[in-house]
Amino acid sequence: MTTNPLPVALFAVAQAVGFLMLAPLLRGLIKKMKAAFQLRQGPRLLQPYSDLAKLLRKEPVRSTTASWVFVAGPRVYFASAVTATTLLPTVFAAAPLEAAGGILLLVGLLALGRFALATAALDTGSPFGGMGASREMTVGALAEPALMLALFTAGLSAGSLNLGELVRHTAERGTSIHPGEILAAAALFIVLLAEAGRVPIDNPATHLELTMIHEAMVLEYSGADLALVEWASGVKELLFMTLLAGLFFPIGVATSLAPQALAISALALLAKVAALALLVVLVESTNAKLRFFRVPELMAVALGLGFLALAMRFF
Amino acid sequence: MSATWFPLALVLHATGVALALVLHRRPAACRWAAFLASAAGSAATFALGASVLATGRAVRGVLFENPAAGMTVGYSVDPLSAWFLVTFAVLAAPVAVYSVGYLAHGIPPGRTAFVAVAWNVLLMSVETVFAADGVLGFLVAWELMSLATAALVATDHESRPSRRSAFLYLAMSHLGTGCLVAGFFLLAAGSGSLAFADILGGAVTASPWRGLLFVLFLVGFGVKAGVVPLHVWLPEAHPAAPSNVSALMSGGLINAGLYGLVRVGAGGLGRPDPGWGMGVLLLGSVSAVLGVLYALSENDLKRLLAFSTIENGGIALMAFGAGMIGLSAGRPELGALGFAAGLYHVLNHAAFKGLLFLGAGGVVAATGTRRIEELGGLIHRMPRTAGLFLLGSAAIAGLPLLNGFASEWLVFQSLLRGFFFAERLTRIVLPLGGALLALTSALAAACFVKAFALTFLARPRSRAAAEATESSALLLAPQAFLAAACVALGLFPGPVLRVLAGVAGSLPGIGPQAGFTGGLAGVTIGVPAFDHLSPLVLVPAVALGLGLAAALGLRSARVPRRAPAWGCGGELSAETEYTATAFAKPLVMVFRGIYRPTREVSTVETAPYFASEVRYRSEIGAPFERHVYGPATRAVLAAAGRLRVIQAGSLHAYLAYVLVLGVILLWWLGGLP
Repeated sequence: MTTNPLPVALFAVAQAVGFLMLAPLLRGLIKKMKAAFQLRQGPRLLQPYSDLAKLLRKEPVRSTTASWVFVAGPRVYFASAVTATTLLPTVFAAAPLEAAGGILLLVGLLALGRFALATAALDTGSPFGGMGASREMTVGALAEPALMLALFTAGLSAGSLNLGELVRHTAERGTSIHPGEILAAAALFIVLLAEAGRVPIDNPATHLELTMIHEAMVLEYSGADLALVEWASGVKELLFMTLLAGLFFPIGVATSLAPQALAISALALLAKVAALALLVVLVESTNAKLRFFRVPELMAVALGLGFLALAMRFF
Repeated sequence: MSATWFPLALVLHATGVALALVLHRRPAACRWAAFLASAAGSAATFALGASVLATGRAVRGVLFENPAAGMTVGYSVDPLSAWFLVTFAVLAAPVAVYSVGYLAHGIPPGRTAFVAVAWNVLLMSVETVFAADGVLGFLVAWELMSLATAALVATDHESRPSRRSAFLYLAMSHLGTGCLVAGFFLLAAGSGSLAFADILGGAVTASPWRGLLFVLFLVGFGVKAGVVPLHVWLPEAHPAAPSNVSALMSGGLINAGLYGLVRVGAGGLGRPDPGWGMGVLLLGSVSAVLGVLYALSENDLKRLLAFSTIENGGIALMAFGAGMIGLSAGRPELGALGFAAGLYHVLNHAAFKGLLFLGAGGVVAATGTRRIEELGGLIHRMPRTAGLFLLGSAAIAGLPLLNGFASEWLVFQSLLRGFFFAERLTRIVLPLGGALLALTSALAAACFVKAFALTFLARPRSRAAAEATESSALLLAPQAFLAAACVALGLFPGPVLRVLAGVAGSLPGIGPQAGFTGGLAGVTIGVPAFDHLSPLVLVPAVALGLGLAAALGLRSARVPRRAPAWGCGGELSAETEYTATAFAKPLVMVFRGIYRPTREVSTVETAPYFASEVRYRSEIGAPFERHVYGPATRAVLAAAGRLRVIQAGSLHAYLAYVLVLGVILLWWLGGLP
């Protein structure tokens, strides 16, 4: 870890830009694969980029009752997601802003984004925003303990909550995976589905108000405001996948700055994220969305998995 | 110099009392004189506390001496007392300034002197509680504190609920004080001394009474700290008082209970038994989760904040529990970490809860209602109050860069660090405590999205809310001060922890070693580093992210088009908004096993297909009132009814009782060696 501010800053900016550039591709990839499962052609792989570009050019319309909070919401959400990416080790086994904090700070930043967006959703006076905000905070509150238990399992095995340290520790251990960690990974995957608003918790494709959570919350956004929300949500999904891959499947992560190692690591990371995306698509294509009040049961399963992971790993 | 600060503070408060009484016919002058004297007293205790924290040396002195009776009441401000005095002063001084403006409209003018006197007496007694060096001074101050608070809770004594709240508060306080008296007498009987240095210096290493002693202190201090199930008075008493008093009670008075628990828990009674830490951790977790769940379902803004106080007391207790587990495992550095985390949270809670209660007071003064369902849209009428309340909400929800995050982060550390050193059962309990803390924190976020957004955003849902006006500068400046404290305490955890390392090191069971290091740059936990936090590193990153977002949205910022939100063909109005009840509904349904909600829907039908009127009533169960306190109250009343037999009302009978009792006592004492 270098402490010279300039390389750190450049590393952080490069990583954040990388996440911003690749997030729409992930969205496109998931849509394409989903379409393939449904024997459809689907939109082209790069369609999300065009969508973002279009939305960024469009004039946003804001509710007459909305205040500055409505405008600030997507911006804070965007900033928190982008900042969170710099706390994560990706290709190289160290995070750019490792000096700022570890797992708990990462989770805190994502909570900040959720808080900002949910608050802003209540600003328009439309009941959809309130409904979405209420459901989003509910799912978030239920997912949080499971997320923490899964992360604690990883952190306590490595003896550190610092993400860089964690990934280095797991990378050194090589391919041997403790069975408890498989359970923790499963718990984290369920949390990923919840945080990314995927079936069976939420449906990103629907605009039927009674079934939606995240989409209801951002229903009143348009133009550049909407673009920021969509983009940040994509970044958040990619971030969770990278986290899952880095903590539990650290195969190929570069521990040196040799170009060859970095190239292998980058390819491995892309492959891992693509595999996780495929898994998400499989879950989305073979499951129906759960009734909202059945979601707590799924979250309880994640919590149970997290607890068992901890118990298996240490007893 | 520092030796005279404590008596000076007491004299300033006494001056406040005297001025309030002299000026009782002139409310405005009375407010200024009494509350500025109070703020000056707080400044003096702050200076005293800060100097003790800086030097690490205790300041002692004598307040009152009666050589004939051999009685001395003195004070001793060691680093722990100093930390609580500083915390209290940081809250009390701005709240006193706020009171000058708030009481002009918050209470009937004729009652100004009453509030001003009780306020100064309260401050004097709380400061003495923190600084007392012996049982006698402590108990007298403790009792005076309860009485002054009860008087303030009953400020609006024409209303029956206020009187009831004050009575409940007194009853519960006395339950606690009774336990404390018993505990202190047991201790004093063992050592023959009433000085804290002798009885709480860690001397009780082996005694069959140890367990009982700890339980007595846990109940005694737990009542004041609002620990579930001793919390029932808190959500009644805190909102019933005027908002400035509520802020002081929630942010400052529960600290008196927490202070006592640290005194006895951190080695005051010798090395804690393993069960003690587990018990405190369990009580803390239950208080935190139940506190935030009840806060979430609450639609009265001030009651919501009061329930959240139970939650935050619980979070501090979780940290203390983790510290005690560390101490009983023979790991002083874990003890230091746990107590430092809890003490940090106590200071942070004083800052953000004070801020939120003052904001709520501004809202109540402007609209005349505490019901969130009747508020809404206030951000347009009260923009400054709204901004400050939003900051307080983000801080209490534990969001990064603000102080709530910093201390909750530390509590997580204290729970997880203990994991490596704890034995069997404790080992799994600690990370589970972490999961419960995560749940608490996420529920608190939901709760404060509701508290802020439904109070300040969208359309006003009542005429009062639509016609509200912004609070005056005298009300806003103290809130701005507390908000600045929230930001500073969140950005600079390192220096705070350096101070706390000294405080923890001064506790009898811990000593000068510490499991964490704090510098200007940040905090590092454990050697080798287990985790670290430097919020300052994140500031440019967040700023850059916000800058990028702003740049991307630049086109929209230039031409903001406004249109009414889409109403599915109908028109949206204040009636169609999402309500506070609706917002909390999913979580109430998920946790219905805890809430036990009851609801009643009745339709009054007139037209064949459409109901013309629907009545809806829903209520959350009150399990503790119903299953614990209800039967207990009935049992006490029944016992009292039986005892009436000997209360004949005849003086002769009473004299006979005294005689009989005297004979029995003499006989018993005569039998003793």
